[in-house]
Amino acid sequence: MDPNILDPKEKEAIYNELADTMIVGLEKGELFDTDASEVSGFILSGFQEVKEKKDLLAFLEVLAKRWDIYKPIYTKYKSEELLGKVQGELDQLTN
Amino acid sequence: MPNIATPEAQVTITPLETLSYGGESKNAPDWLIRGKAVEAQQRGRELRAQREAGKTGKQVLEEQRERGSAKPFESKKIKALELRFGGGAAKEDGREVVIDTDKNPSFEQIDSFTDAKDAAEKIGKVLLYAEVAAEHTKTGKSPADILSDRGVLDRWEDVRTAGLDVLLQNDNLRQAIPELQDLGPESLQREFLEGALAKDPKFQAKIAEKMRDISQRASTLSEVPKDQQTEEAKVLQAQAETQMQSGWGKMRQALEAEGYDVSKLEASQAEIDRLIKEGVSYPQIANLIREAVLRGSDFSKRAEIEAYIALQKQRQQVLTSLQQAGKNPPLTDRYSKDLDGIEAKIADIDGKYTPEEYEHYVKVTTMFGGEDVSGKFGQYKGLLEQDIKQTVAAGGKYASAEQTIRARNQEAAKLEQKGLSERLRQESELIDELKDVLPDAIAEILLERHDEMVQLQMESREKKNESGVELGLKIIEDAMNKNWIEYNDKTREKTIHRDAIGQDVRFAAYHGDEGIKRLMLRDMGNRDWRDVDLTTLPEVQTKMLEQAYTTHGQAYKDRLLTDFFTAKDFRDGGFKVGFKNWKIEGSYGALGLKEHEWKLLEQNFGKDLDKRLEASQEGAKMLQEMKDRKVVPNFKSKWLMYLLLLLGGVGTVVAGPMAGVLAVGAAGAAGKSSTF
Repeated sequence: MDPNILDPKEKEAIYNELADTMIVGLEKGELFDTDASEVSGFILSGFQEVKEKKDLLAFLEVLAKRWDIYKPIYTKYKSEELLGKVQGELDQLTN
Repeated sequence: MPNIATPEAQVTITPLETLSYGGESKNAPDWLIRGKAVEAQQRGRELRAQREAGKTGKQVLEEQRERGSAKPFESKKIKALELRFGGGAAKEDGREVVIDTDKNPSFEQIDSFTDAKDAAEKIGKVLLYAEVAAEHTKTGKSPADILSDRGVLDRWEDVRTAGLDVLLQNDNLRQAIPELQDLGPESLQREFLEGALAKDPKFQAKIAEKMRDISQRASTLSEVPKDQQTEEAKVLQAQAETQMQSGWGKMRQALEAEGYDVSKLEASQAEIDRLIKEGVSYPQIANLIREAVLRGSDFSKRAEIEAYIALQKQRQQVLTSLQQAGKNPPLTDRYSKDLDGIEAKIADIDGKYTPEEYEHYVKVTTMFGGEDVSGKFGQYKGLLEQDIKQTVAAGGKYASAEQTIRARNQEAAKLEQKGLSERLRQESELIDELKDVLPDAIAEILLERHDEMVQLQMESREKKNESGVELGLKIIEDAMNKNWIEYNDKTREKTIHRDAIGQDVRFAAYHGDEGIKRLMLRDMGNRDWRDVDLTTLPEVQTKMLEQAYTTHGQAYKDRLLTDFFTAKDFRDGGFKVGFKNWKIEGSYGALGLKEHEWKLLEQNFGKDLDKRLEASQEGAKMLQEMKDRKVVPNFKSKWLMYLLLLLGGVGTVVAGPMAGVLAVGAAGAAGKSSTF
């Protein structure tokens, strides 16, 4: 399995994360009901096109730009990617 | 944020801000944003519960997306809604929805359908009017053009009158606001209702929202179950009926092709069909059909022709006997004598009918399987036999299916009745809700306007308090928001304290302005407020009371009476207050005033009210129109006008010293708000 491709389980986990973030946003009053509907539509139509991990970051970046509540998720995945790269380089150096 | 001024200044909310109340603008007043946040929190909790119950994140997102894209209910969907009532026995008939009598609906089904249709059509009339009025307000397009675009043929004036009349004739509205009828002729009542309420786009949105909910639930009404065997038998019966009709069709065609008149046959068809379905055998049916054909065509010489044929047969028999008799004179003599007699009779009949008439008769009897005595119509022999047999056989199948249906009758009826009862119960719930749509929408609009007023007051108060206000003023401000219709701005919960309102209004009616002062004294904690000599109060309390009365006396009085008239609309038989965030406390009779108490109230507060109405642009216009039509408004109807205008009627605005600070500019009032 290509490690760059998001498998269905990973996609489901990300869907859950995005939905839970929206719920928290509603609970904190950071999102209104109507905003949440717009967010949902945006995620459902955008995320179904995401096949690879690099596409995921691009998608999260746009999402975070439109709705602040998604900034932490974008930052988290961006950091993971950077860490992955650094780790890869370290591995190369040590091998 | 709205402009909030100090107590000394008048404040106006711009039309833009007013528009933003119901929209998505983040420039809406704080209280509205808070309200939306409360709703968002509620929605968040609902979605969290769904996640915890096992729904995936994707499913939750899908549901939320669906919620946002749900289309609003429109008047054109009324017909589809009507079709869902009547226990499944409603059908479309051209532009109308009617009950399908072929389905043998019960009285309960007919009642349910009629009730739902009546309620839905009334709402449809109001909704169509409100939709066009709202679109006209939004786009400036003429109502006639809007109606034409929608394919509605009615004139705007008729649509408007019909919509407003439904509201005016609504029992709940009439009971809740009886003063409306005191406003004079119906045309004036319509005008008033339109200006103060019906044109408000929020009113249309409210109805649409309620109807969307009802319509969604109507689409999921339980279906009435059917007995499987009965249904199959009904299908067989329908097929048999088709086969019978096809048999009849072929018979008629064949007869007509030969020039026979089938009118009598058609007239007898229903009766013969009945006999076929009862199992009468083929020969009898064939005979009945032949007789019907013979009755129809011109067979006036039938008796002579039949006698001739019979004589011919006798002649033939005698000739045969004569031949067989050989040379036996006694016998031959007798047969010869018989033959002479028969020949004489034949000669007598001969010439009484034409050869064509004879052949016409022989042909038709041959078609039914009779003997071709002419020897010319062999090809017609038994021509109709097959069709009649097909018809009779189909009748047999029909009878057999009928037997099954009868045998299953009780069982099927029991099953269907059970399902139908459940369905009609569900329909009845929805019909009750349909009947509440209009009064609830009106009530909610009025209450929301009341909310807006109170919220704005509270925001204004918060500002004042920032600059430091004396204790007495704060106590009175708090009391105004708690004594009668209590509003909690955090939970957005409202409580109508009926008993307190009734008692205080009665006290004010008896004691006038001094009564108001004493109520304020009570709020400041004086236990002897009813009877104490006001000149003997401690100096500090006198100062506090005087300052509070000077600053807030008018507002206090207005608020008491406004809350009284608002609460009065929520009584027995009036609006049903079933919506969230509203609670009623106290007895229903608490708000009833005796006739002399009304007079006292008018005596003490009537002049104030007149001044206010006259100072309001819309109020003055209304009073003038009433005067022109020689209508003398009474105290209660003036209050109704004041209240509706105060609570945000279209056109202007009003408010005034009641809060000492408030003036609400409504959407249509661009730049012409007035205060008094």
